[in-house]
Amino acid sequence: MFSGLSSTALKDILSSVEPVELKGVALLRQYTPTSSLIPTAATSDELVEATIEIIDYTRACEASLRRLTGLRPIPVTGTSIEEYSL
Amino acid sequence: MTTPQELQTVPAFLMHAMQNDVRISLANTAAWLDPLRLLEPGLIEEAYFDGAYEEDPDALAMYALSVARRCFPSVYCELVEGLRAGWDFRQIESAFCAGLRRAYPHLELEALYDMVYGVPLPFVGLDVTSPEFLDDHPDYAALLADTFDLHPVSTPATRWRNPYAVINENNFDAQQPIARHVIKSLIAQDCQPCADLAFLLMFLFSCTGNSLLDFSANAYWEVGFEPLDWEPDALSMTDEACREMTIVLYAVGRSMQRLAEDDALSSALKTNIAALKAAERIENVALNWPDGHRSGSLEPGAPGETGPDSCLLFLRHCYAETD
Repeated sequence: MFSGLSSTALKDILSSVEPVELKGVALLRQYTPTSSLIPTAATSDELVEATIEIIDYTRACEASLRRLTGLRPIPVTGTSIEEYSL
Repeated sequence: MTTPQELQTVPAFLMHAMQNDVRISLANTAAWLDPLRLLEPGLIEEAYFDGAYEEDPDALAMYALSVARRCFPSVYCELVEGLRAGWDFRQIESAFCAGLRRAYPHLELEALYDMVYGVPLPFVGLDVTSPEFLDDHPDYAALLADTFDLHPVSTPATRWRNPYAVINENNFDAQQPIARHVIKSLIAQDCQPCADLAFLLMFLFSCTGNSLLDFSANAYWEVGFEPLDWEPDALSMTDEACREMTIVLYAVGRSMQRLAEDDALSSALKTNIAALKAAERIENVALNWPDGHRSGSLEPGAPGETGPDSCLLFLRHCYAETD
């Protein structure tokens, strides 16, 4: 059963999360703009794959956000709060 | 002062700057590939239902994009590319309908305006006791009269209506137990042409278990069912129901043809129904059928004492992908 988490452990968990490599971002990075800011060189298969991925990714982000907003308080131990200032 | 040559390098400079910033790069990717993400889905739907009745092409196209994004992203991708290329409403409509057909081969949508009625539901069920039935389906009416003795009853003219003939609803309902008994017996034969004949009777008596076959459009909407929302689950389910409907209708057509040509089968049907009508308890009546060709039979033990739902499983097994 979960009984608490130290701030150091929380920091370690968050910093160990691998960055997401999205295909759409990779396609954008490969693009050398000429007259348009919208990439034009991608094939339709690449576009479909990248679109499905970004839709899923934003849905997952929204779901995470919903879960976080509904989260009950979690005790974060090991953090010293020096003062309360207004 | 900036020279024209320097201005030409601005897009490359901006793009390079964006690519170096993870957050802006992600925002740019989302705006490029998924522009509808930036709009509130509820507002799109609201605009659609406001606009549909006035045939507002922009609202219709936006709603189609929203459905494509939710249900078949490859079509959404195609539509977004089309919009960037300057597609007009007809091109968007055509691409959406074709994309729907690719994703769900048994669904048909002719116009984006029809999306207001929900997922397309092609009801083909019979209203046997309606005045229109005799004119619309004289072949089925003749079969019901010939086998179940369901002859049309004339209704005299009134001030508001000309005289018309109709199959009495009480008489029709009274034949339901007999029809279901015959259907069970036919399925238990585990052979053709009995399976086809079973499905013909199930279609005539609206007991296939598939709403598309058991309801006419009028009857379905009069019951008060809501249109099916454009969601992936509803689309998959309707596509499967349409596939099943096609299979059953083919069986119905074959059986009508067979009854017209096969005196032994036709005669057995009439004899069995007459025996059931004369019996006090239909459960005790043993029905006899002519020998069939046993094409498309199931593994041993599968049919037996089956209800209508199991019958559909039987038919799927017999004809799926081969007819």
